[in-house]
Amino acid sequence: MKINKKEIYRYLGYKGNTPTDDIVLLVDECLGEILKVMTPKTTHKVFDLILQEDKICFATMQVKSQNLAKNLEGCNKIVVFAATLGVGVDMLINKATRTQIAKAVIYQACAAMLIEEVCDELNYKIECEYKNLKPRFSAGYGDFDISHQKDILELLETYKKIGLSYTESFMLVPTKSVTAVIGVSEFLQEKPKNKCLNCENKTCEFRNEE
Amino acid sequence: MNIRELIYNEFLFFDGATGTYLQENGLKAGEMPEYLNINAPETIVKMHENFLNAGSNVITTNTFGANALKFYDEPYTVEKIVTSAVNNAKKAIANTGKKAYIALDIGPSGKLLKPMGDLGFSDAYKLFSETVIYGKKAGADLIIIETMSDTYELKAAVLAAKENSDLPVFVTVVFDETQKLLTGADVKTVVAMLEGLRVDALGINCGLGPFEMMPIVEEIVKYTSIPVIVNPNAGLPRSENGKTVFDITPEEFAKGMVDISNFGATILGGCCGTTSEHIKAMIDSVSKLTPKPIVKKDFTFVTSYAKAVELGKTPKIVGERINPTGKKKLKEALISDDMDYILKEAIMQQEKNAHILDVNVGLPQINEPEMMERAIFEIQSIIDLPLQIDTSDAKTMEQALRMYNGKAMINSVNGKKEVMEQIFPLVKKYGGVVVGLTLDEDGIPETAQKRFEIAEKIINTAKEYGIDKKDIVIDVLAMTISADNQSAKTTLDALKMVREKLLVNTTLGVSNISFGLPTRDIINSTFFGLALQNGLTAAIINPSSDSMMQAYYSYNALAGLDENCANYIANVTSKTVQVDVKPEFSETTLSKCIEKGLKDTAKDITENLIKTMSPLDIVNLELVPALDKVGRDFANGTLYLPQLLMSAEAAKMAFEVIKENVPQDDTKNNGTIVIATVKGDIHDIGKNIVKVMLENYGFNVIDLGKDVPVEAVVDAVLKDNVKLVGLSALMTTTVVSMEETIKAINKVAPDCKTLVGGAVLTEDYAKSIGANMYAKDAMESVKYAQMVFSIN
Repeated sequence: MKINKKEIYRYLGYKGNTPTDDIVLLVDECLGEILKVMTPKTTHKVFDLILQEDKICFATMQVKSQNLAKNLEGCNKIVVFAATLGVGVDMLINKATRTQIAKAVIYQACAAMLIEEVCDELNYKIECEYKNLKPRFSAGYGDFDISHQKDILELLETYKKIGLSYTESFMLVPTKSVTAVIGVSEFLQEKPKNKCLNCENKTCEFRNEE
Repeated sequence: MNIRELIYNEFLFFDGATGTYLQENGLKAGEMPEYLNINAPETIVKMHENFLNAGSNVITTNTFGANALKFYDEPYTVEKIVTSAVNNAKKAIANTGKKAYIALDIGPSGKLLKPMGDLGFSDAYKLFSETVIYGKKAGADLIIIETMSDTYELKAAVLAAKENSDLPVFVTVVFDETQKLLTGADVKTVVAMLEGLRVDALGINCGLGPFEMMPIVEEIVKYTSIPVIVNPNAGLPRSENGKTVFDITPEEFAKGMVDISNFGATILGGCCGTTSEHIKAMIDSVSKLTPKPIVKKDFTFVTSYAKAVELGKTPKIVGERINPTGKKKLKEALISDDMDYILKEAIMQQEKNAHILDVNVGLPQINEPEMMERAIFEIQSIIDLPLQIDTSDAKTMEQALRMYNGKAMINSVNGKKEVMEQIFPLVKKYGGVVVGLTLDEDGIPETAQKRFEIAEKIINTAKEYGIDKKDIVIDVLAMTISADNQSAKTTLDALKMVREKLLVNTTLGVSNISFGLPTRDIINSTFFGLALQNGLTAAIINPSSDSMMQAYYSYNALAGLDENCANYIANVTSKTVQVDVKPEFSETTLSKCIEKGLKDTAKDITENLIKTMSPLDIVNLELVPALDKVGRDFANGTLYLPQLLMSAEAAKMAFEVIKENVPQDDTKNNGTIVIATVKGDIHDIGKNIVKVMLENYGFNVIDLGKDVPVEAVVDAVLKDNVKLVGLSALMTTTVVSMEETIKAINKVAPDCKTLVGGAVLTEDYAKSIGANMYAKDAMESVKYAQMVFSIN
């Protein structure tokens, strides 16, 4: 798996600055521990997609979301996927949260980078098979209601397959997990170089404007 | 022959995949198969008939997900789904005229249990109970709990099955190729816990095909004493044109299952992708064989949810630090509900290589059952070592054993009739490795022979309850030599007799030997070595005592239990030879250490400073200026979060030294603040950052934790007349409960201010939900707190 340390520093709020040597060492140590306990797992399925005037339909799901509809324009299939780093990472973060808060924050940043890498790898695999992919889109983005998290997890049987579940407020557990849908277009897609530029949240402190 | 006898004499053949059959017969992705019990019973009956005709003598009901989380509305209630599912199975048996058992199928709830998720253990128990009650009423012959990947959920399901029915309980779990459950348990851990809960048969299903399962089956058979179930997939799943397919043919499947039965599994069937052809081919081949006999095993395992510790080979360390007897600070922590202190003691012992942790929270001032449950829950949230539940209160013991995730060590029973009558039924019901103290109604015998006799009595009585001696650890009791100079010898003699003649594991509270003597470490470690040589297998000691751990590692090296003396070299020599490489104190100041985030040096320097400087001066001249400087740099963007937190931790170390050296009443309290992550939210790093910072600035922080109900916050505010509450929420869905919490606080305590923070919040958003203040980071929280309490 690709290890992108710059991303870790970005999640830690360094905004392109280089951390001091002691922090670099501590990040390496924490990253090593996370890599040891994580058990990354993914699952995905492909469905026919029907875009109706006011709703998006695939499998048993019906979604009302203008943002997602825009994202899926020109698509006839949809990939639904879920990925998790597993409960071991949560355990490690929880332990540090109670006793060594600096490490907790660094674990958190390492895990955020790693789950994105897991998603990117899966994304790439799917791309090899289905070619023209739209950027991935998650429940909770824009007006894609977060309650669909539950539908996605049940559709993919994620608890049985990869141990991924949700809470009553639709948070994913284990927490270092992602679900998303990816539109498969009939036409060639231009690849955005920077995912941040697609995001509506202009004031995000992690926003990458490069 | 009933099922319980039959499985010790014959093969039992389960059916194949329900999902695969139903998908081929019209079930769409995302549709719940359980509906078909009511909407298309003929499809379900037909499916069962197929498997019965293939030769299955157990068919599983179509009730995998039939729980109240998914089915709560008419006409699809749990009762109706389960009843119709059992009836469909009965009908298929009647139609075919075959003789077969109906297994009530129970799959996972689909939710992760606390502390990882938000489903409580007792709520999970209730869900499963409901399914069991209706299944039993409808006429199921046995219960199969399957596809489980979390030991805690599994325990809830097994208890539900056993407490709400008298049916045989079979259990299968999902191991991956690394031979682990998703929540981390290996084969030994699962086998120990399930045998402890007295299930009738156990094994593996789903996830893998027969060939990938073989090494796991071998491992299961190696450790279990009960019949083994194996229900594999038809190979590994593969995606083909967006559909999941399985590759193994019926013939290959049958070949794999023959091998599996040769490993010793006797209850066989299939999971995802297996059709009636697979099952028929398997039965045709396997039924020609003779089932392997079920062999009793004698391993002693104590487990958590992820780790199994074996007693009886290399001696093991039971950490004794979480026990208030003679420990002033732990007493204070228990009384003031300071869970972090208990967790720190737990982590410290884990880092010092303890294998099992003793947990005793008995104090007259506290509610012991409640505190024991909380301590176990919190420790098991962050540490995967098995625990020894240490209490003399039977109620506390039962509650603790019920909610403990794993097979605990139980401390203790003794030779008194009354105590055995209280404790053995609990061991029998929940499982566990129980410590038997060699004392009885007449007290502690003075001779080794008498102690040996009590040990024998304990073992024999346990047997009457169905508790095997592999689950008993005898404590022949170490008594101080300052009162009786023969007492060590008596203990050692008894230890040797018990270990050699009764062949059971042994334990001792080793340091009791030196009560009342000076320099106890020397006596203790020498006695420890002797005890190990005389057969001690689980030593209750303080793992942070270097001399005890040195004795431990030396003994293992000398006794040939430490390959290449590797543990000795790693744990003993490095510590004694290593030169202390602390930086020169004179070169650096406390404030510099804090700025640099050097925890250990900050602690050492403070310990020196406190001898010559007043605590107030250390705080005002060194600590606060350093914290302020770091805080300013952070606010200016020249220093980043990890450094800020390392400085905060260093400052915290210094404060702890100061606190230890001044009377409780003199410690500075700038004001009391309640903080919490709101109901429904389980992300608490942000809240804990704020906590550390506030504490460093002299505030007394009452931390209510995460997923905190509105009432709990209100109660805490009222209890201490608190003037400031800090709330955190990560997502828009949980900001709703933040708003509710603020409203509730305003209603009962209008002059209490509210401070909020969290990823989705902004200043405007905070205002709109009625918060007094939004803080974008921990430093802003500190500033606001200082303003509220008029500091600076």
